[in-house]
Amino acid sequence: MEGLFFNIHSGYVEGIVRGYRNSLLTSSNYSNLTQCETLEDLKLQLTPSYGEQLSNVASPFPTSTIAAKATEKLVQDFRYLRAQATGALAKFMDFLTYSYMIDNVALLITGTLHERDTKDLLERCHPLGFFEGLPALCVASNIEELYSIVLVETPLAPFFKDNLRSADLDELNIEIVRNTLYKSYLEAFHEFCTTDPELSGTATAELMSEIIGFEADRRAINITLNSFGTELSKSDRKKLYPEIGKLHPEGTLMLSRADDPEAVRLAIEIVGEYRSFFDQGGIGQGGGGIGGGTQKSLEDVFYQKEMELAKGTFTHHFTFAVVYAWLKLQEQEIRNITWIAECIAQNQKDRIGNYISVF
Amino acid sequence: MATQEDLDELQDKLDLLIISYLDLFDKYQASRAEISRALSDGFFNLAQANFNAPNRGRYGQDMYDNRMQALRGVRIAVDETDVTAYTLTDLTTPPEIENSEKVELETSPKLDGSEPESVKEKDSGLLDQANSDTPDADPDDSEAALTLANPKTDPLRWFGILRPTALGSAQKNFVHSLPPIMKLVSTLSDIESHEKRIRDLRHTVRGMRKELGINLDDEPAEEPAEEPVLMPSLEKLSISNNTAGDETIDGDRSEGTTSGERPDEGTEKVIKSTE
Repeated sequence: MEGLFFNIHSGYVEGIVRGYRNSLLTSSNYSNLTQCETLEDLKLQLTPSYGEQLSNVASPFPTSTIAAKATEKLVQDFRYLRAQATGALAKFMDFLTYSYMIDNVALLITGTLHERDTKDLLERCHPLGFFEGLPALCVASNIEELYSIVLVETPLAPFFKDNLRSADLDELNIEIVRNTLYKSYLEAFHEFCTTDPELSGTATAELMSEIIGFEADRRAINITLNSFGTELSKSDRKKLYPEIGKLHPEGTLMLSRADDPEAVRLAIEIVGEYRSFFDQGGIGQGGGGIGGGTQKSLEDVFYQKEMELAKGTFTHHFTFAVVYAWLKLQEQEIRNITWIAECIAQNQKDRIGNYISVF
Repeated sequence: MATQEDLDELQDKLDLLIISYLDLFDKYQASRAEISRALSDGFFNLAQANFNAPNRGRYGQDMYDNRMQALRGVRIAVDETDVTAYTLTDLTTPPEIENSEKVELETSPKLDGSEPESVKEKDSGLLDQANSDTPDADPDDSEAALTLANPKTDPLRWFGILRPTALGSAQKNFVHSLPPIMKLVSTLSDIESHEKRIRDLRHTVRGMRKELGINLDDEPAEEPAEEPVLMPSLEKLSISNNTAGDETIDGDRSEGTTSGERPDEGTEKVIKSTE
């Protein structure tokens, strides 16, 4: 039944997204990219996808330029889609931008703490996460001010509801603010997808519930692994775990008590598919550990899984989840290109194949 | 009046000097290799951290702290033979550095032009202690300078509390490239002093042979390099990932080392190549 009316409002956007998906780089594109000897070659290989953005880049250029130009394209495409969206899809797409807003808020308040020039920082903010009050963030000196002066009028305000404390903004508290905001964001997004009258019971609810749950689990595991050896206390850490996903509640409880990667492994073993992640990712490397040869880090395995979930959404019709999936796939593509560019620039070709491609 | 014995003694001394000179080249190349390894691992770990960044955005200068202070400095000591020893010191334990002048070393940007992440570690305060009476580098000192007394000053905190472990590895790599850099510049200074001594000695030997009436046919017709030999300047040795620079310097050096089977000829060549 849902297909009967879906196309009236959202058919066009879905069609466009499927078109975007077809222009994503495939394995054969990637294998061509890895053959490049210089960044100039790489630029040439990227012409079909990013020609418009890269055409005006003068050589020699740093790898960060490629990432910036590719992001430009992503932003342009996303804005076009957002302009076409109405109703629940518009709200859904707004939710997608909130995560960028959280990153921007963290970037700005960290920069202010570090006495950086606000103008420079604003230029570095992700365009998708830009909102009106953003430049005013620099005046805040503690969390309460941050909320009452600036964030109360932004879409991020609801995410603050239970997290207000009058603590000073230092590195630790910024990290806590960032992660609690993200936690609330994921929970709110999950709730929106599963309970919104237009979405509940549809393929979107089903797909997004799985994807957001996975994202929540991944964050919980990453937070735990990265917190070892830092001043983040266990009780603070526990508050950062989203209350959704397959790990909640038993897994997150065990994670909150973990002291080392082995304890993390035990905690996530209650979910069958995650058990194999640790086996593939190699325990003890924490996140992003550097192994030799083609050894994958745990993060790589998570990204791989995320990309497979995203790819899977395209087998469904009449769903908003494809927009989310496309955004994630495109982001991963940018990371892949940057990685390959980085390997070429540093002449370290032995691990150039560590990119993540699902098509 | 010089005798044959004096000449033999001098020539033995010259041989010994040349052998230790070649040993220095070996040390030089080992330090070079160590630095290259540490820096390339560091930049690679940085790329890995960016690839796995949990929050979007790159780990780079966007997150630098403008209140930054140099954490490590360089102590420079010159001994009586004009050999300069460079030692790493921890600037976070302040008392002895109060009167010293701090100068920030230039750090060359990465070849690909992206943010020189390493700057935060490499901006060393330069501590001039020319009259110091402890010329020899104590390796334990350098190791101690690598661990920070106060973890709150760790620049890694700029990038958040929960950052990927690869970023920590990158920092470790960059920090561990510092002692070999100190070793490298000290070795270079030693090499320079050796070259000077060898040249002087060769001059004396030649004079003595002339005096003793020994045939000079096996000597080169012209005296090489009378003017001071120019060593690669410090800028050339600046902390950089520039492989082209490495090759030039290494190339010069290895020429001297490989052709050094007959010490006399070897030195001749080295001195020429560094002209």
